[in-house]
Amino acid sequence: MKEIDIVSNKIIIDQSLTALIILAIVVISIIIMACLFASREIRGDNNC
Amino acid sequence: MKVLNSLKQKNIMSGYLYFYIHFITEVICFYTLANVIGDSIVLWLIPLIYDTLAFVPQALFGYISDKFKKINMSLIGTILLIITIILFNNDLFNNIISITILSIGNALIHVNGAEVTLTSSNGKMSHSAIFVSGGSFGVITGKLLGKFLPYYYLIFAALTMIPFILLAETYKNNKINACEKFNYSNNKCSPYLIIFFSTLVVIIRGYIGYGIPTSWNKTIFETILLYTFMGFGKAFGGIFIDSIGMKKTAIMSVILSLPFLLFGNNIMIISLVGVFLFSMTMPVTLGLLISVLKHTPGLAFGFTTIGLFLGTLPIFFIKVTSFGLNISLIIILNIACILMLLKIVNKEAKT
Repeated sequence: MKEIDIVSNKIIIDQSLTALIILAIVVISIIIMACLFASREIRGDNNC
Repeated sequence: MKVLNSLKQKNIMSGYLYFYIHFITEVICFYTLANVIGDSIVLWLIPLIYDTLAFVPQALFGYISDKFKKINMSLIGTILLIITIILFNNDLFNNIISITILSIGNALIHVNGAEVTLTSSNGKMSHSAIFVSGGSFGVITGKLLGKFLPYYYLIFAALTMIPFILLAETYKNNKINACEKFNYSNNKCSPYLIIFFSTLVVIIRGYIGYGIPTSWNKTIFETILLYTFMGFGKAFGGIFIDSIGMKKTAIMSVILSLPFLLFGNNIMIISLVGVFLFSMTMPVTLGLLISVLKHTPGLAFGFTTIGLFLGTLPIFFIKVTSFGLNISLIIILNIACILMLLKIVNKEAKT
């Protein structure tokens, strides 16, 4: 019974880590995109 | 008198309409979050998924909304909220999917709210501040209702938002120069520095918001008071910017709040005044960002939500248990906020 618990806990921890990594990638990508959009807008304003 | 006049401004109705829409959105979101209960060790992930997908993509959705102004993001968001209500049950995997859809719906409604209130305000901050303040009241109401209200009532609540959204849309100004009158940032500063410092101030506000010592807060009534003062602080931040000016509001909110936050640990009213003053920094930072990103109000609002996410992120992983360390952090971070705001606020901005 304990072995089953350890295995299922390991699966849950692995899934949590995967979810965390996906969230981190989403966050970093969107922050980079937001900075690029802002930079484009600022440069656009300056050209006007 | 000036404060009263701020509440009677032209098009201020857009702020009140989105106050209600924002309120109901947060009620639905926090009702749902409060009902995700169980013993699984992955459950701490659900609030993190919610925070990530509700806060961070607002910059992206905001930019899309800025470029495609005809799309009514709030209506799409409301449909997503209704789908979440229908999908929600006791299955964990299903609930993770529901929370994902819920977060995106929440983000879309926020983005549209920011666009409508900023473009209709003619350079004033009260409209968007009133819109944003609705969230604090919604969060606490949703948490409380989550304990006893049947879930299907939320569908009715979500449907009541639709006429408000359609009415608010009539106030939206789709002209490219709709936000041209926002001039709260220091023109001598680099726009990149203004965006960076404003976002940093939001990050600090997000962190301090959870780090404020409030050992007085033990009952439901006291929690309601805390969120009420937070909401009123955000709304009055915008009203004060319009009546006494950006610089005075920025300095007043950060400097005056410090002693109240530090010495209010055991005294409720002192702490509440501190929370009220500190919450006023929200419209201050939004005003600074929109002054730089005048053609993309959705993106400007997105930077504040990214900041808020990054500021609240440490609470998922780290807990500062030492009272002395917590107080020291609040003092250092508040001083950093004052210095950054003094650098980037336009000293000559007219009220």
